[in-house]
Amino acid sequence: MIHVENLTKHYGSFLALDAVNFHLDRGEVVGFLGPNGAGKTTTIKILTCNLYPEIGTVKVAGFDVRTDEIEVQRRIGYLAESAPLYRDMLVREYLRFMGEARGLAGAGLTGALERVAGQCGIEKYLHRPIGHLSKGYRQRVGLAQALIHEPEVLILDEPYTGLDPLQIIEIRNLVKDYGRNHTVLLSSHILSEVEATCNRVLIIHEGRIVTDESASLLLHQDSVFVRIVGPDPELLAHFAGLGQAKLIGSHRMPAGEGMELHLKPVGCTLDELALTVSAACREKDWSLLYLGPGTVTFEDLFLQFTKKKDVRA
Amino acid sequence: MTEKDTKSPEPEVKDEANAGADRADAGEMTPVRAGTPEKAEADPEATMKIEDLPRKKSKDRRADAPRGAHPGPSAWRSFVVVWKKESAGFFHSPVAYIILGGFALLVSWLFFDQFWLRNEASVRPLFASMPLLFLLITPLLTMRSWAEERSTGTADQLFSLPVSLTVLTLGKAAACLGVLLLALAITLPYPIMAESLGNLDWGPVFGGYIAAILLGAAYVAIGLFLSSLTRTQIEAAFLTFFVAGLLYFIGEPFFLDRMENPQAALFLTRMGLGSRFSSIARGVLDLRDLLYYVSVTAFFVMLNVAVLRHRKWL
Repeated sequence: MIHVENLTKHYGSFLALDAVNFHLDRGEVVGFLGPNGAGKTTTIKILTCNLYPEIGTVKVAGFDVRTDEIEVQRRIGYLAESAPLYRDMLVREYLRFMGEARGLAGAGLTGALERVAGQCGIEKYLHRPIGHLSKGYRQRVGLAQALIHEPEVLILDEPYTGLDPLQIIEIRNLVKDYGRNHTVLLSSHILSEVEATCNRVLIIHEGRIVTDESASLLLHQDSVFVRIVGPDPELLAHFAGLGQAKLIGSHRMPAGEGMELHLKPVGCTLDELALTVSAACREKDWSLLYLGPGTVTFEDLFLQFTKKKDVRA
Repeated sequence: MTEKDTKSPEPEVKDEANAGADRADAGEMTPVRAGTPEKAEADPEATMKIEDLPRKKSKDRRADAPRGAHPGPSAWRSFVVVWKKESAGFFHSPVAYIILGGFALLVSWLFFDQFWLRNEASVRPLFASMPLLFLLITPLLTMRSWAEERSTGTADQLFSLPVSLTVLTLGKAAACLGVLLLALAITLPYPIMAESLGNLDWGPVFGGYIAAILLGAAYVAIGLFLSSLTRTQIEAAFLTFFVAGLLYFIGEPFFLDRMENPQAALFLTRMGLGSRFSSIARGVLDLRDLLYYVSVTAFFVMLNVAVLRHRKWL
């Protein structure tokens, strides 16, 4: 549904996107993650025909964004960053305009309007001027506008900013539901939201895709998490030099409370690694306070991948 | 004027739509055509499988079709949709009312000031002041068109719609011109009144209205173009006032009288926005004058579209 190949874009001399490649199929809800200025919005602007790609091929629903602009635009629903809307217009009037501009008319338009108003929970606000709505409701109107023509591809730029937790859950469910039969690309820098909504994650950093993996695969990295009290430098040196494991994280606790280590097995099972760790502690007379499966948070991953790029550069 | 401009891109965009549909059809058909004949000769079993596959695929696609792409509005429908939205925008805020109210006041003052003085059934003073009055109000109409869309970010949303940049520009231009037409409608009672008081020559009246519409369209195109270059409405308004004013004044006697080179003066008279206005307003319809206004308008509309398109490359 979305096919991006070797996409490169400069802003003046600044390299915003550096040979970006990815592919999205129908039924995928993909999170587009990255720090501010990483190239998320630039990519999204290219997908929505707001910018042309400089180098590379970008196809949406099989149509090239350069040569078949209108065909692409017909098939996308787009919510731009911070939901820019015409504040003077009534909600209903705005949704009608966006629907009509996409070719809806008559009973089809009225039906679609009622449908999205229900989906987004804005039935009560249809006759209010958009400028009078709270941020959360404006965001919903923005989403309703993006959904009104049931686009094949839904592109949401930071859809969760400014929403309260309850609204986030509602919108999340709506997006997940829609993604079952369509394609959704949503950008965010709120990692937990991406984790909860998406089944695949693209991490972009300094204009490059650094990770493209399924969310569950990313989160279930097999690892062991331990907390050990002992002399710090020796502890670190021992586990860093361990042949069976790779030390992927360490955190020094306040004095006397030991050290947290995050180990990834290399050429052995988790159980074997756990045994090695406990044996080492017995042998060196360190106290093992905790040993359990490692939980990787998106924050960890994010740092892990964005750092990796830094090291490479 | 508007009609001519707005209708011209229609066939072009329609072609695009048809081409797109053809392509979509072709995409649906090719796997079936390409897959079957070759394999059919090779192995009957394989034929079955391969035939089933594409058939299933194309069926799937057909089922998806109504959900996926709406046929999409024609360029004309899109134009009307944009025009409606833009026109409604004027009357949502007090802008249009203030502009029209101010215009009505100025016009009536200028008209009556001269009307009784001249003591003849003529509305010439009405149209004589029109270029300046339009110069005052057009920047206020066009200033928000693009500048506001850009500064609030709604432009991103607008440019993601399946509406070509030309149609968007023409829709906005038509809405601005629509307000100018309303302003002109406010002046309709004056010739009617003049007619009731004496014997009015309607030729110059029609000429005056035509000239005003043509000049208004040119002003609107200039203002819209400049609005596309700026980020704030104030910048857009001042720039429009300045540029349109310049194009108007270079053809006016008070400026030309100071010129020493007669050829340059003649050239500027021909280029000036206002000099042709008076001849049309006298009731002399010259095709060259019409062409002049149409080309100025078309030129700035095209520049506007070019700016929008260029911005996608930045």
